[in-house]
Amino acid sequence: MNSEDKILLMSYVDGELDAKQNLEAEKLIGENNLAMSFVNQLKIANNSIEASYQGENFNELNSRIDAFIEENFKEEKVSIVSLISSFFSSRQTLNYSLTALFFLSVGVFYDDFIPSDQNMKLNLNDSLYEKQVFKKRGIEENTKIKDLLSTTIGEMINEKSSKAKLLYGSDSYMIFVEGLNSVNEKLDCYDGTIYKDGVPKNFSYCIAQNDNTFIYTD
Amino acid sequence: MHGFEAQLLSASLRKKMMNIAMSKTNYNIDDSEDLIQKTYLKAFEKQDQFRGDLVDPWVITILKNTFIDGVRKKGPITVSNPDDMPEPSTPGYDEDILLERDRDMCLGQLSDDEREIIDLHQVNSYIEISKDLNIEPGTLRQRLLRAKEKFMQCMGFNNE
Repeated sequence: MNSEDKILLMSYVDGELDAKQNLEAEKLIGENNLAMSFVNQLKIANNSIEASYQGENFNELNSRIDAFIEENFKEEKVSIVSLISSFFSSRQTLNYSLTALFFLSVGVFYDDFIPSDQNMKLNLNDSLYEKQVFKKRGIEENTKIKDLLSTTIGEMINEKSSKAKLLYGSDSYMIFVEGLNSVNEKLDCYDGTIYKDGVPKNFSYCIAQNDNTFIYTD
Repeated sequence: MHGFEAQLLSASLRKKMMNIAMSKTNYNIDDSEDLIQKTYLKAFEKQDQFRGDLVDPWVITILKNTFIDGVRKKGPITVSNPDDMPEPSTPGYDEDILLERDRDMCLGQLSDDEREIIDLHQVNSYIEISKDLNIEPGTLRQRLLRAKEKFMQCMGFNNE
């Protein structure tokens, strides 16, 4: 086996190949005992390496980082601005604080917050934005999906598409952006619906100068 | 700069930071926590200096520089050492511990570049790692293969 064969087999074990390359790898494994043996060795190595990133130490570290983020960046975003205010100009600090205040309010008073008379014409066209993401191991699934949906919505808005199809592993999501509310000149919130297996879920995706956020509004 | 904070606080970036911090500090939780917290704070402080679309590579660079600064200030923060592991007579010493010790020793024998690729590979696809490290996908594949072969050789998995 040469290096190219080994790279092909390693990519096969890591799930990094397309359908055609998968067939090529499987053909090589079927015809070559060394290839079969190399694939098995790679699987054992992957399992061993993966185990070093799990366990109590990582759970403990994750909990500590959770607490740090909750304390400094989520519950009281304004406090982190105070903490590092020397690094911000006063205008940036004001913008940041206002943005943080808004996102805090969105979470609590979403239904009452957006004035109904400020609906704007949706600045998106009818084109379909398509994206495919392969599933990777070692990631918290729920968090990953929410991040993925948020990123995809941001991308479809950049592409001016009102519809998107997201394939994540074997899961399929249809995303429809249906409305735009402008809270002020620096803050836009897009509303829409995500369908998975025919089940709708409403969302709001807000874009501010220094931040954006994605929330389910059901 | 849309989404800076969302990207900075994303679960995937946190996982990358944890993997790299843990391997750089030899799995010391306190040092890893300290390193990650400093990195988050520095990233927030310097967010107006951020240029580009991808926050992850920028933050990973901050983490690595913060680690190097820490080492310069107080010397290597190595804590775990294969020699410090329990002797066979110690209660609880078994095959799992032996395997863990060998695994950590073999991972420790990889170069910094190889180790970093292995760290990131636990969370990312090849394409994402290429972007994070700003290297070509082909180069990434070669380095990852080299790292895995070195690891397999060290562990005795590679009997070719």
